[in-house]
This record gives sequence, C-alpha cells and structure tokens, in this order.
Amino acid sequence: MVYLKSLVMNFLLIFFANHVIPGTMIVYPTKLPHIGGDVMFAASLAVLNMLVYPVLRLLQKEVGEVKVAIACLILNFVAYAVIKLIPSSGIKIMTIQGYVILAFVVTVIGFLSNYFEMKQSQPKNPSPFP
Amino acid sequence: MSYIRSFFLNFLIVFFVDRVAPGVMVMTYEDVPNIGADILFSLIVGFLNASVFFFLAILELKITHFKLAMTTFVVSFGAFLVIAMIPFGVRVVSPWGVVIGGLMVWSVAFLSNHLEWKHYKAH
Repeated sequence: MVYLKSLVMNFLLIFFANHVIPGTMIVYPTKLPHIGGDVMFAASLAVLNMLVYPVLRLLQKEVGEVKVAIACLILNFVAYAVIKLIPSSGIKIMTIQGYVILAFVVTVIGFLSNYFEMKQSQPKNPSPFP
Repeated sequence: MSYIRSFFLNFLIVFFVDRVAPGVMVMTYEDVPNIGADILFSLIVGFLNASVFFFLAILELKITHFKLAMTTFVVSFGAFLVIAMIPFGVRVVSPWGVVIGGLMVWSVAFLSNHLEWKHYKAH
C-alpha cells in the first residue's frame, strides 16, 4: 500500500512537472479515452523511479542516501535526454534550461520517494545487541 | 497520511483531471508559459477536499465513512458543476467533464480522507 501510494504520488508529480515547467511542450496531450505520450511517459518514469531503491537493495547490501541520489540523478537525466532525442515521444523539450530544470525537479521527486521508502523499510528501534 | 501529503495528492489529482478528462478545457494565462489558469482551481478544490476530515472533526461530528463520502462527493461534483456555470480558469464543455472529473476527484478525495481518519485512529 505504501509503495502504491508513493507510485501514484510520483506519477502525479512527474505529470505536473512535465506540464508546468517552462521549456517543455506536450505534443500529444491526453484527453480520455485517448492516452497521450505525457501520461505514458510519466507512468513509465514513475515506475522506474520507484524501482531505484528495491533494485539497489537487490544488488548491494548497504544502500545509503548518496547511492540512491546518484541513481535517481542518472536515471532522470538519461530519461529526459532520450525524450529530447526521440521527437515522437509526446513531450518536446525546447530549451537546455528546460531539460536541466525538469530532470533536476524529477530527480528530487524520485529521491524523496525512495528516501521515504528507505526510511519505512528500516527498523524503527534497532537493537543495540547483535 | 499527513495533512500536507493529503493536500498535495488532492491538488495533483484535480490538476491531472483538468488536463485529461474529456469535456474539461483549461484556459491559459497569456504571459506565464506552461502555467494554465487551472492551478488556482486545483489548489482550492485540493484544499477543500483535504480538509473534509478535519472540518468534521472540528465540528465534533461523529465521523463515519458515509459522512466522509457524502462531503467529498458534494465538494468534488459541486466544484465541477460550479465551473460548468462560471468558468474559473477551467471550463466544462460537456457533461462528461462533470461526470468523469467529479468521479476521479471524488474517489481520490474519499481515499485520502479515509487514510487520514485511519492515521488519527491509530495514534
């Protein structure tokens, strides 16, 4: 339930950022029943962002805030670079400032949701004895 | 779920519905790129829906699921009916706008108030 809630929140925040931050243009906006590229991109990026902490946990024993932040940074900057290169994705990035601001904002969103998930999964009162 | 998170969720769902629901049209401010006039509407409806549980608690009413559902229903559908009559940054251009918009906003508003209630019952 916590994971699902974070996923929905992440999706809505990415959708909001894509629509509001200057330097971007939604080429094929969603109007139900038509699903545009904006919703599909926001949903995919939200799923990927929410997988950062679980995947890092699978790969490594110790996962700290810095590793999560770096992973989110790489993921989001690469995702928006891909969007910039593929013109038929539904979102058009017009300026380099738009790219940097948008990727940075979504990185912060992704990091915060992974951080909260990390805090949730850690024991609240760890025993001082091994 | 804390109040701030509930408020953000309600604000974001209204913003999302304004953009994707059929029969709802967002008007734009001329000088602000990308920011539509729906932000204010989303903030107001998001605030009202997020405050339902607290409003009932302040009035010292016995909180039930039915009361939460009815109040959020009135706020959500009422808001879309109001913008159908008086355009307020967002315009409803077909009845589907009220039905689909109201339904999506109502379901998230009820869920967030239910979680808020559960959170306060647990503490």
